[in-house]
Amino acid sequence: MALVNSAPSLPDRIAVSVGQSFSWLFIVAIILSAYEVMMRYAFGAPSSWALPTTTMLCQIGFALGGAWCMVKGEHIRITFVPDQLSPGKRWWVELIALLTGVFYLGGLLYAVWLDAKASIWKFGFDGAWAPENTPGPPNWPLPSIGKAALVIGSALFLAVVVSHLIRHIAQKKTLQEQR
Amino acid sequence: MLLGLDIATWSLLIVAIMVGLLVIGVPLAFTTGAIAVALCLMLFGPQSLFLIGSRTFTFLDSYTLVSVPFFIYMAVILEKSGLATDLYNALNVWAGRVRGGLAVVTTGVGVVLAATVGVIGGEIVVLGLVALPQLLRLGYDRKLAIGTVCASGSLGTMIPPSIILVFYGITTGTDVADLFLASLMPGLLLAAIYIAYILIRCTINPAMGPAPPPEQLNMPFSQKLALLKGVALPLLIAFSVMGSIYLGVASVTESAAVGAVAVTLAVFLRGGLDVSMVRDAAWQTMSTCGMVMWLVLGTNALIGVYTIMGGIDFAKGLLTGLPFSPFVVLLIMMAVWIFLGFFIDWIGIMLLTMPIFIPAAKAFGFDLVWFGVLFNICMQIAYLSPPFAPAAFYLKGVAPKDMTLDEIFSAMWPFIGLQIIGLVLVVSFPRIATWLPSLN
Repeated sequence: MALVNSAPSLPDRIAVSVGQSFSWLFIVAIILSAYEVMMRYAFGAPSSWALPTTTMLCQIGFALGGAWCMVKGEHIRITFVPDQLSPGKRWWVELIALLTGVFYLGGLLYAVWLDAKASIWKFGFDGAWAPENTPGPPNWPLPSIGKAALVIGSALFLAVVVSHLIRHIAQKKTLQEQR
Repeated sequence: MLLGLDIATWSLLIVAIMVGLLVIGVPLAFTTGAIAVALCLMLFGPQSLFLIGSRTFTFLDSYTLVSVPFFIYMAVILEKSGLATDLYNALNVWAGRVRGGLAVVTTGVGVVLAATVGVIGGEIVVLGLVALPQLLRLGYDRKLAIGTVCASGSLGTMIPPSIILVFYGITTGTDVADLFLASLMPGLLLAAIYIAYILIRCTINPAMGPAPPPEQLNMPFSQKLALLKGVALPLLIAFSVMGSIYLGVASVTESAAVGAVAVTLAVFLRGGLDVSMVRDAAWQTMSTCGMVMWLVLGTNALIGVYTIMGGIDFAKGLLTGLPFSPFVVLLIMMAVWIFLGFFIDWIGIMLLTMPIFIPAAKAFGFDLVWFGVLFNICMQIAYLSPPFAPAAFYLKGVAPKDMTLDEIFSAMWPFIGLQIIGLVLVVSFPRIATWLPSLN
C-alpha cells in the first residue's frame, strides 16, 4: 500500500531472510510430531520432549512471521476507504496506520521483554543461572527460548514498521515535489 | 480505577476508536493491540504491560495451536500437487447423462477435498482451475458454475479438519475433536442442499447443465475404473486425519502431523515432489501463520485488559439482560456474524465477537459445540457475501479474464440462500451437529 515504490529497507531484508530460513522449523515440527506418533502408537515408546519441543519450534515461527508479513503487506486491513482518498489524504491515513503500529509494537516489545526477563534472568540458590524450564520432564528451558523468540520477533516487527515510517515521511517530500 | 468513567462509556469509546481506525485502513493486528497498550498505560501504569506479555506467551504456548501450521502446509502441498486434478478426472467421467451431472460431481470433489484440507482458498483455486473451465466448456449456466465452485470450494473449513474450529476450540475451551465431529454432518448437509439445488435448476431448465460429449459418455467401463485410482490417495489422506481423530488414537495436532506426512508421501508416490515444493509450502505456512497469529495477539491483549476493566462481565450482563428469549438472542448473534461477514474475515469476526458472546452463550446454557458449528456455517456465508467475499477473490485470481468480480458476486446470492436454509436446519435440529460427538 506504499504510495511510491522504493527499495526494501535493511529491516525488510532481514525480516524476509529470517522468515524464509525459519519457516523450515515448521517442517522439522511436522517430522518430529509424526515421529512421536509413530514411536508412541506403533512402538509404545512415547517421549516427554517431543510435544513441548514441537510447540516451542512453532512458537519461534509464529513470533518471527509477523515482520515478514508486514514486508509482504499481508496483514489484514480494510482498504475500501483509503482507496477512495486523494494521494495527499491517503498519506495522512497511512501515517496514522504506521504510528499505530509503532505504538503497539513498542508497547508489546516492552511487555514481552518484562515477561522474558522474568523467565530468563533467573538464578538458583547457589547463584547458578537457572532459566525457566518446562513444568515437567524433559525439564528443558523451552519456555525461556519461546519467550526470547517473542522478544526478537516483536523487535524485528517494530524495526520493519519504523523503517516503513521513515520511508513514508521521506515520501511526503516526493509527493509535494510532484505537485 | 477507570479514571472516573463507567465501563459502559469505556466500551463505547473502545468500539468507536476501533471502528474509526479500522475504517481508515489501520491493520486489525495494530488496532486492537494499540488500544490494549493504551488502556494499560492509562489505567494501570507501564508495569501492567506485563499482563499483555504473559498473555501473549500463554496464548502461543498451546499444543493445539501447532495443528494450524500443519493444516496450512497440507493444503498448500495438495494445491500445488496434481492430486486434486487426479481426483477430479477420476470422478467427472461418472457424471453421465444426468442434467447438471458435472456440477454435482464438482460438489462431490469439493467434499472429498474438504476432508483433506482445513483452510479456505486452495480448494477454490483448484476447483477454479480444474472444474470451472470444464463446466464452462460444456455450456453450463455461468452463474450456476461459479456458485457451485465457490460454495463447494468453501466447504474446506466446514467439513473437518478446519482451522476455524481449532481457533474456536482454543478461544472457548471446547474440545476440538468434538467440534470436528459435530461439523461433519452439517457440512455434508450443505453439500446435499447444493446438489439438490443444482438438480432442481437443471431439471426445470436443462440448458443450464448440458450433458457431456458422447466420447466421454462412451468411455469403456474398465477405463473409468482405472481412473478411479485418483480417488485413492486423497481418501487415504482424509482417512489418516479424520480416522485417527475419530478412533481417538491421536490428538488433533498429531493427526494433523500424520496428515501432513501422508500428503507429502502421496505426492512423492504420484511423482512430482521436490524440494522447491516443500520450501514454498514452508514459506506459505510461515507467512499465513505470521498473519493469523499476530492478528490474534493484538485482540488477545485487548481482551485481557478489557476483562480486568470488568468489560466482559458488562457485555455478558448486557446480552443476558436483553428483554428477549435466549433463542432470539441467538438469532441476533448469528445476524451479527453474518453482517460482519460482509466486511471482515472469519478470524476477525471470531476474535471480536466470541469474548462477548461466549459468556452469554454459557449463561443461556447453549451447547458450545453446537454454537461453534453455527458459527462455522455463518462463516460459510461470510466467504460468499460481497463486498468482502474471500471465495470470490480466490476464484477471480484463476478465473477466465472475461469473468468480472461483479459477475462472480451476483452468482453467490442463490448459494447464500441455500446456506441459510442449512443454518436454519441446524438451528432447528441441533442433533444434526451433536449426534456424532455423542457417539464417541
